[in-house]
Amino acid sequence: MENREIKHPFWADEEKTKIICQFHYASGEVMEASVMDTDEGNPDWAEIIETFGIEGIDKSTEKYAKEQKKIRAQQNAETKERIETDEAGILFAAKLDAFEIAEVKASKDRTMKARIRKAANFMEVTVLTSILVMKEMDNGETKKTK
Amino acid sequence: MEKLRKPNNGFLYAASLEKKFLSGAKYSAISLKDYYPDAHITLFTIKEWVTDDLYDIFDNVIFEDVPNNKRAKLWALSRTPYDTTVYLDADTEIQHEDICLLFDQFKNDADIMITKIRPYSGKISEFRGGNLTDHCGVFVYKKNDRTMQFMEEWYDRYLKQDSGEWQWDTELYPEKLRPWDQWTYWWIQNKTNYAIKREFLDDDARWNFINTYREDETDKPIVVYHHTIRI
Repeated sequence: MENREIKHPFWADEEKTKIICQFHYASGEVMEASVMDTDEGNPDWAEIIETFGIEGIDKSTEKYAKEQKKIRAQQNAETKERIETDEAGILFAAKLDAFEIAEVKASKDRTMKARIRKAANFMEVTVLTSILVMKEMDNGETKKTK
Repeated sequence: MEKLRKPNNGFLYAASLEKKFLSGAKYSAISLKDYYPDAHITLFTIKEWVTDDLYDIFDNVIFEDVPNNKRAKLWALSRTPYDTTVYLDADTEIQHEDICLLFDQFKNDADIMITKIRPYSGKISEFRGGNLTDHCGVFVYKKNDRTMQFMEEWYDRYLKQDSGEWQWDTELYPEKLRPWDQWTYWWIQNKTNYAIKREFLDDDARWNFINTYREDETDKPIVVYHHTIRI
């Protein structure tokens, strides 16, 4: 027997012909191993089956699958949140830029400004900002010609 | 005839370190003026960013000695020109006329009126040693000696926190609290003699509606919407 302990075995396939496990050596080294039985008989395979039993490996496989599912769900949620935050950040940055435009900044048209602030996407910000700028420029021209 | 003293109320923004915070403060202040044209607004920012157009939005721009660090906000709080100040983060937006009522919300001789953190919305709020309850993005405070001392301590302690000079029991208070000024605030309020009297604003969500809040947090119109995103 080697100076190592086998831990956390689980089935790597539905046919239960392959086991993934960890070999923990006395030196502290940990190796992940994929173990299959052979025609001659694989002593590692035999040791795992003897130590944990088929039912034991079934249970740890189920536990591993649940953990992986949880990790994947968390990763997906984090990715989704990051994408949403990035999109919201881009939209908000566009609104900040819109309000850096002199005509928008100085406009007294509270309704249009509120609409720009509430715009739900980049295109809406662009269109509403263009309308307000044109309106303010037009007002400016009207005032000049009066 | 004795001249009656006009209540000296105003709003305070701070923008430093990254120019996007200045854009944010301008954006927020324009929305404030839309809903409260008579609002007095002071901006604390760094000298290099001061341009004439800022005076179209802000009545008062303070730049002398303003530190160019991420918590210039805390430096500014004790230097407010107002007797009663509403502090607003640069990523807020005013959405309702009721903003002018914020100064009248003081109760029970409070020094500061603030809103509550929703644990479902914050990244960090609960830890072994306690839990953060107060959201420091929008609040109203009075200029009195103890509140000004509190604000000075808030800034001084934050600098020590940020530099690592202030170390704490990380079993009780996780290290991940280090970047947050809400943590500094919590510590001063709960663990020091600098604590000031705090009350929560009624129907607080409408005064600081964080973008991740559930819609049912308030059934009245939102007054201050808080984007809390990387601007």
